Amino acid sequence: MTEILKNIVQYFNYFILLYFLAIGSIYILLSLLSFFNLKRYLNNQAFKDLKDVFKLKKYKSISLIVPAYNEEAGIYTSVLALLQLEYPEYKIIVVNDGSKDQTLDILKEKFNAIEVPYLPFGNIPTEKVNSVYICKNYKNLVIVDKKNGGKADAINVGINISDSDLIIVVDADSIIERDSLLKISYPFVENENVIAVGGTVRIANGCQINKGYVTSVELPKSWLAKFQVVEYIRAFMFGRNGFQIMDGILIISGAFSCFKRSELIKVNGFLKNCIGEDMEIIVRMHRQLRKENPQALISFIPDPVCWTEAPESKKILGLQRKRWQKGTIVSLLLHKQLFFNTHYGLLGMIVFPYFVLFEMLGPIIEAVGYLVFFVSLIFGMVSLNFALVLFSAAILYGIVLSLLSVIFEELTFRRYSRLSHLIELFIIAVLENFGYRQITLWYRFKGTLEYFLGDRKWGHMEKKGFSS
Amino acid sequence: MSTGYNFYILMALFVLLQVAYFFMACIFLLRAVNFFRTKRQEKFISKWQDLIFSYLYSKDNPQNLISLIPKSKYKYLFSYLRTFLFNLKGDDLNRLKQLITETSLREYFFNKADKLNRKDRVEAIYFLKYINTEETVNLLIRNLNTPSELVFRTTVESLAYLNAYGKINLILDVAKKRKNLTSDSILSMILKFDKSICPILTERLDTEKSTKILLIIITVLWHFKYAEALKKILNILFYSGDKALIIESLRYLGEVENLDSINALRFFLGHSKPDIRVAAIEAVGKIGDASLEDYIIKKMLDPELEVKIAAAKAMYKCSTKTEYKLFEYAKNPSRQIESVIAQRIIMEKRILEND
Repeated sequence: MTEILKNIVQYFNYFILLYFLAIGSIYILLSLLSFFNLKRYLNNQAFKDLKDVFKLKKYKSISLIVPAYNEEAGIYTSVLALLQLEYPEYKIIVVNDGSKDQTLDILKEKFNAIEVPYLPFGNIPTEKVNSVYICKNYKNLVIVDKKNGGKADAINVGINISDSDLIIVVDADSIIERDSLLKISYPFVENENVIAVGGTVRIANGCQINKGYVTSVELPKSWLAKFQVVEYIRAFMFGRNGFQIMDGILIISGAFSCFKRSELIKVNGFLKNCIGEDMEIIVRMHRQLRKENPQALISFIPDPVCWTEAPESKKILGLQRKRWQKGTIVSLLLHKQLFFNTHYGLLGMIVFPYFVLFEMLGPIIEAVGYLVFFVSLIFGMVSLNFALVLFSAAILYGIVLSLLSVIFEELTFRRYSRLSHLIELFIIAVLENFGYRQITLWYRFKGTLEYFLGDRKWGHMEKKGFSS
Repeated sequence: MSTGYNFYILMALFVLLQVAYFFMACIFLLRAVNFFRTKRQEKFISKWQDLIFSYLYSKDNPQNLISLIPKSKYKYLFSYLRTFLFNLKGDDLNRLKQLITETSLREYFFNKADKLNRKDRVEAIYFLKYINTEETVNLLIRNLNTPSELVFRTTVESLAYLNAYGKINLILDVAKKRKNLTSDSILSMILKFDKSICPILTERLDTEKSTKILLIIITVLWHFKYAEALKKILNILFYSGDKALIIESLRYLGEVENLDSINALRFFLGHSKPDIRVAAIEAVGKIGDASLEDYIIKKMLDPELEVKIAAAKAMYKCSTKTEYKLFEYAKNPSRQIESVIAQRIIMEKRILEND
């Protein structure tokens, strides 16, 4: 009996070793794909003058939808910054989602808002709209007050009110680069089949921010936020970029994403009360829209277009990661039809199964793997050599990937310009594999357990806000 | 695990460790390379900026200046020239252009434009637009058949800069064959030309079979408000069943504001497809013809919301009569939807216009 148990444990440990090697190898492959994609993108950008293209009369009109819930601290600065973006014609629709604080009053007062009748262009079902305001001094600003219904519902109200070609969803506390509208709308000009575009999101903690813009890029002071800097670079440079080549982007960041309005209406907007509404909409768009147009494309631009605040406490980080994990599970389970579905090409055959195995089930496999491994080590079921091999595979691969992402950053956007930044990034890339990765794994594991045990709440995330 | 098996795994991990070291070295190497590149560029600018500026305000032979710059520094020179060629105007610009047109750089770019390296070609084609000769145009035409979209785009933009409008048909023929080029992309290139392309494009309306190209041509004619194409566009409007073509043609009619379009607009106001009715209403709103006032007013009762909204917007600016009618709709509680639309449009226009 003990012999059988020992064998099972040993095979399980081999499986875990293979799992770590597989995930590392996939990331190395993705990084290679990303490298060529990035190089092609940057070469093309060098001779393109985006502003010149949009000087033409025929450009895509844009509505920026800003869902706001209890954002009184930063809403005025955020909207002011959004009003100064570079684009020939865009509208900002701030949707106050039944805030309990002074968000609406601040907006009304500061922007001199005047109430007008509610006139929806779309008919996505939403919670009741209380009032709509336009602003005397800012012709392109619309403020909407509605009954609380969650972020997805607020976005849907914005979609209904907008009559623009493109919809950009932006978090009220995100910092958008001035030329980001030009950049994110360009893929729609280049390819008529593009239905949604995501851009790279970076960590704003530590950066100097003035009047809603990042004026100097710095690394955060908190180690937890520092680790997230490298983590974000890796996720956006490798993950999104690599999956794009396979036409398999399954998520674009909810902090800043752009959609063709007509296609959003076709899929009936964002799913209300869904934890990971930003991932769910993308998976649904793949599933529904690629059925009628197999050429439909969800694209990604590697330019850092949006800066966001990263959690600096373990408690908030835990809440965020649990929510992301639950969002991933919801999106994958709701659209399980894509799993090994040849109709969706590489997305169905590679990307979706990858997400199920490594993103959805990964935390469980890894956490159980660590547990079994330690137990078997204590009871002498595995050799010290094997233990060394397993840990090295997990840690060394991680270090190689983190360093590779710093190299990519250095080869492309080089936003962290000082030598001290580089040394710090290099140290972070090594250190994040000792503790930080395991902590986030633990939160993801907890998120997975909570989801399957029926706890599917959003969880309240406190943010410190940026000081200008 | 057997000892042999262990050995291979440990070897693999050893290699992985070496890769990690290699990457660490790469990061610092890349930063060093970039640091020295920036330094060289700064050094170049500090050394040559004064010379280039004193050249601009002198009558010196441009070749004298170019001869002083070593070829190894050309990439810095080109980046500098690109910025200044883009920003300077008038005599300064012409003087700067002479650095390309009347020096050895001219030959340099001609040679580079035929090279296989895509980056070199794009750069050369970019600068060739400042050398306005038949030889340049011919060389650019040869580059139209490139597989690279970037080379194609730069070539078309250079031809536009040279105002080689006679080549527009050729450009469209090549663009038509490039399956991955979208209408918007082609349009953004073609609109770099000036109005001179319009007569040629109008001629092409008779023979062009591709809907995509027809759409592009109509948009260009709309962009330049080229009224001479009206008859041909009206022809397309009545004989084409393609929705996109009809909508684009109606937009053209609204832009050129010609009374000959009235009958066509009246006809399309009653079209079965709502987006065509919207386009027709928008065109009427722009022309503002009194004979269509009643048609527009009736469109407020259209079953489709988007048509009602378009009608309300058109009524506000079409004539005094339609504006008055819009106010009546706004005050009419028995027609709730129309009343809300009218109120919203009136308020929006008033508030924004009073600003």
